[in-house]
Amino acid sequence: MSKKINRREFVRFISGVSIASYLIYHYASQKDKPLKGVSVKEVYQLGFSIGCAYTMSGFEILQNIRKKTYKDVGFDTLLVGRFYISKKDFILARRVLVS
Amino acid sequence: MILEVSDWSSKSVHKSDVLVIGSGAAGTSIALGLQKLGVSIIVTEGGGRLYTEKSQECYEGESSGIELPYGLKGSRLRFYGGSTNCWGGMCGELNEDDFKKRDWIPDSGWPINKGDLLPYYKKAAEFLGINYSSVKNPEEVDKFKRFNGLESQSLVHTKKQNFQNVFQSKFKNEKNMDLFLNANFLNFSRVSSADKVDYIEIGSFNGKKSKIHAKFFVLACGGIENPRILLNSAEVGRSAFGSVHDNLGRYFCDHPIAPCATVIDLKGKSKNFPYNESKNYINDGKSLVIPYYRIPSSVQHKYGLLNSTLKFQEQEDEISSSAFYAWRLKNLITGKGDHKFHVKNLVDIASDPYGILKGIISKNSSNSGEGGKRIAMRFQIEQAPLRSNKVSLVSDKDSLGLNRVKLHWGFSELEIKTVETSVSYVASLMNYRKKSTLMLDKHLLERPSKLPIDLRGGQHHSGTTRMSIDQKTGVVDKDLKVHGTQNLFVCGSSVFPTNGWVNPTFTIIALGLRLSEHLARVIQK
Repeated sequence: MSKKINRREFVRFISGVSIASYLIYHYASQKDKPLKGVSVKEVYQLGFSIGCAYTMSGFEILQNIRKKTYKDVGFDTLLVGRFYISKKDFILARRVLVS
Repeated sequence: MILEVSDWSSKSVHKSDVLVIGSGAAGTSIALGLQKLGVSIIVTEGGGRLYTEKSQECYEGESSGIELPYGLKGSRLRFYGGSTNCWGGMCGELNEDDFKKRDWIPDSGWPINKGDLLPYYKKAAEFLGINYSSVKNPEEVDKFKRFNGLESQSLVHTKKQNFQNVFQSKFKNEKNMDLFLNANFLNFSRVSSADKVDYIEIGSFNGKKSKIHAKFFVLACGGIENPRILLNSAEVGRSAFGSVHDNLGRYFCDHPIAPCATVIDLKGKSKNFPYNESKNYINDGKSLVIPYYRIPSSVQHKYGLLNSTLKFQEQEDEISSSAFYAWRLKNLITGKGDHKFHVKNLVDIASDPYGILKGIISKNSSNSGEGGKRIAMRFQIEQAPLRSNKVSLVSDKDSLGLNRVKLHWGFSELEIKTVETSVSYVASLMNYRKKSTLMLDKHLLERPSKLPIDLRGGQHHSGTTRMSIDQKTGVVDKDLKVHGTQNLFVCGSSVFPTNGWVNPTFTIIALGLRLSEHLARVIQK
């Protein structure tokens, strides 16, 4: 029996895949200077998480990460827009987007 | 025996060891505690067996600052059983920290510690027919889901919610215990030394009056009515009982409760969130146990926070201010609720008339935003005791001749800091597991941050006759006797110096049982 697709979950899925692809594109475009210790899988997972969590505003989050627009709320966590992201993920996304 | 004062034919005089004013959670627990110990008791209740507008109207008053969600009149009930008639039946105990002086919370600290209340919490659990172990150690309840990094707490649901239904047979059958209905408190009569109550005068709405003498008098009418009655005890040349240092009526608190963030599964499947309340109810074999998660003491101490808990609940989407005012206007038009509008509300309405009109017309405007569902993280936190939050009297009088109240209620920066830090802490725990995260509600992004527009108090009025070591810092002593009096006591959440995170009724009953033992000891001496 097929499972009904929730509209919200579908939007999240599409957004997640889009943002994950966007990050992989950035990662791939830096082939001549590959990011040390960062795998494609990690980049995909990060992009998919941001896409799912923030749906249509995911790209805005990436822009904020690029511009370093965030609030440090302690506990190794940053508030980017309305979205809580770990410092580790923030650093990874920034390396992919900015290096 | 249960007697109706309005049926009495002539002016009468009554006598008992203890007179309790109020038949709600506090009054009933004191009376039943004393009855067991062989002390004679009379309980007076201003209302009758059923809700009447005439009785309820005595609760009307003025307010400033933040309005109580259901207003002064709508957030408590004035008939037999008091506010247990609308009590949700949730029982939980205060944490050890709640009793301690915490330097970052001005005026915190109880004159007793949790150890003093523990035996009475156990008795309160027996009184309400719940398992005390589910209150004390929720993790031991089968299927309780622990949230790593947060302290497990619980509220346990009792079926003995409506005290009129549950306990009226006791009042009917026991010989040393009488309940007078439609027996409205009118005034205290003092003996010449002025620090001792001789008798109280009661009266019905149809003009019948009576005097009741007792050795001890206990006021048990709730967090707003207790200070109101005491403030009304001022006479020419004599200040009101408990008012010498201007603490009476001050430090009013309620529990800020509201959603603050949306849980988002990092794979987009938020409905699978395991802590969602509707999926997380558990049964301990006797009662329903509702899990709550507390910010650990170590984090509260390090960051200087109020006592704070969280729970996760499926609910409507985040509410916008236009949807909120649409809901309030709709209630005003249809006569539901007890909503009044101030000038500042009208300014908000004028700023987005189209959005509000859309909200009124929309079928989904019953306190919802866009009509969707989310898993919301809701906070329920302690309120910092503020001297400026107070119950005072106004010149307007009710139909019994008692001055009505004015309530001023507001929040400090500490509540906002507690919510913001708690959300960040939980988000960090979620990020660590890489399964979910949080999206902050809009109102907390505003600068300066605001508490949610749909914040509601829990109808847990407290603090207005606070317990203290001496009369400079409070109204009643650790035995709940009004400072500077010989035989007048107060019981209820009004004696709480701080209110913790937890719903107050279980503690009110524990305090009531403790007071009944104290009074019995004094009488038997």
